[in-house]
Amino acid sequence: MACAVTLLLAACQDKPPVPTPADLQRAELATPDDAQLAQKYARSCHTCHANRASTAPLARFAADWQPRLPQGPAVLLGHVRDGFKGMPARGFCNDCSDQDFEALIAFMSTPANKD
Amino acid sequence: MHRISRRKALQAAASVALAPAVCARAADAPATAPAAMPTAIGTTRTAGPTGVAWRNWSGSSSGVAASLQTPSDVAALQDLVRATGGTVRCVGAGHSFAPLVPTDGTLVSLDRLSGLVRHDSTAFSATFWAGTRLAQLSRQLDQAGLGLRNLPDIDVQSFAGAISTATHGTGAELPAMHADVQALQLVLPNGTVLECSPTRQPDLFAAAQVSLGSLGVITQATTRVMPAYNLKRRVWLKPVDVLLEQAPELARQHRHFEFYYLPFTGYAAGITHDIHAGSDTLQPDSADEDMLRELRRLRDWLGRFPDLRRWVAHKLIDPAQTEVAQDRSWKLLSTQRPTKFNETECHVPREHGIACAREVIRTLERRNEVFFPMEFRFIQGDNAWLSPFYRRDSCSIAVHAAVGEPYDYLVQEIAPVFRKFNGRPHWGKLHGHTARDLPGLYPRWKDFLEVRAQLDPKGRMLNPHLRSVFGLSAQA
Repeated sequence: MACAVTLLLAACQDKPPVPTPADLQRAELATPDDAQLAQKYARSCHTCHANRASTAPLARFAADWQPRLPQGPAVLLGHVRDGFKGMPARGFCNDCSDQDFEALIAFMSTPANKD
Repeated sequence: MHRISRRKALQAAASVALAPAVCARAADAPATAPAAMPTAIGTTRTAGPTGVAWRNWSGSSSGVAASLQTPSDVAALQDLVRATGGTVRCVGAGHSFAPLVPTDGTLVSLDRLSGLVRHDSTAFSATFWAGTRLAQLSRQLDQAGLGLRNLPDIDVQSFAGAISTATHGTGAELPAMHADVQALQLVLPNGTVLECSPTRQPDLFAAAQVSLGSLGVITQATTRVMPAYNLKRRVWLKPVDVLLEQAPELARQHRHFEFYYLPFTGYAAGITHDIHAGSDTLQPDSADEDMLRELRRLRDWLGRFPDLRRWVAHKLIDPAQTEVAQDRSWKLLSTQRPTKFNETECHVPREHGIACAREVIRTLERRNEVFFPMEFRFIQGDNAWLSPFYRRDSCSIAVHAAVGEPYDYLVQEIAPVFRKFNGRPHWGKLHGHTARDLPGLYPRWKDFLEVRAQLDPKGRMLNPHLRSVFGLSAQA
């Protein structure tokens, strides 16, 4: 029954890309190399960007970032700074600089196999 | 890793049941389009010289502050409080719907005061910086082999914000988060540091546990913890009258029990969480958003025909469905909410809970546009002076409206029902209670106001909303 329902829903809606368990595990464990950035990532970004339930683009999961990256870094930075849809303004990081935000976007949007 | 959130349960009912009808309708134009609303966001800085614009998560509260400060440690916060002449208000995740934050003075974010300070695995206590968000707090505790006894259903709030507003989860024998706090450290309006606990300045502690940021800035909180544990969640559907009958007994039988009523369907989803001794996990995909989408579409499709809407829902919902999930406690109890909403919530004496829920449902279903589930939870009483659970075991009833849709009725029409049942409002939610109502609901109200006046005689920690709630004039 559940499968049938899923199919019915899938037939009438655009579904986001589905990460594999390995993608989700990678998002859960990933952290920036820079210690200060890692601290900000852990307290501000990780909660939503490592959790599929948030619907935020998953860290290190290329399929979630591909539709967003073509907008360019300035637009993405603006979305972080000012808020956009589910993204809270400043992403729960009130002490982050624009450079921090750019580095955090770059970290999260870089596919895991391109480090 | 896949996680399911608590409202996943509802999707098991709603999306399963409604999918065929909704798919049939989905090709058509949407029946109603929500009115445009400003994007709901948290704190933000404007580029101009006019200050810092801020808006809460849902967009129900906003303002422009003179500045936003992020002190790096307690000493920096003390300096800031001493050097700042005007009002100081703290900002967390912006998940309060009531206007607790807006000020034309200084906003203080505790983002840099974040993380685990120390823990004691023998005494089962842990001290956190006040700005730690609940998800990070839970993760750090888990890494230490520990966990909180209970959690609210959203995990992005700051620890101090959750404590200060009496944020709670569900569980007949589990209290709200502030009741597990064993000690607090605050920077007072005069810049000094206050340490308090049940044995060290106990009256100040009882006042400060739930104080809405009005006594000072909480910098650290020590909380009771327990060994890390796993939970098993079960979700099932029942006709709402059946579940309302069974709810008190279910709350007695299970560590956590709550239910959601699905408006205009006649069905409610029961949700239990109990200790799971095994380490095996079951992580069904989250489909909360699908559930809400289907309930909204049913409303859009048949909202003007409530009897037909109910009949269709009955035909499509499969009450045999259940769902089971197993995981770490914090991963099941608390998550995020992609769909934004506005909300009112009140806490009524436990013996009145079911009767109040019945009346709230009747009141809600006078409005055909309602589709968001109503939430019903159990909370154990505690002793904090401004706790809505002060010395009474309670049931909480929460009613939501999607962002972009009217929500005035949450207060105008639901508040009278809450009042009738002697409800105490959730401090962070929209509510209609005023300074005239509150002294009668809180036996230590006057004592709290005296402590507040003693610690903050100039009212530097108050914004217009708090002045109104406390019955104080606009001037200090």
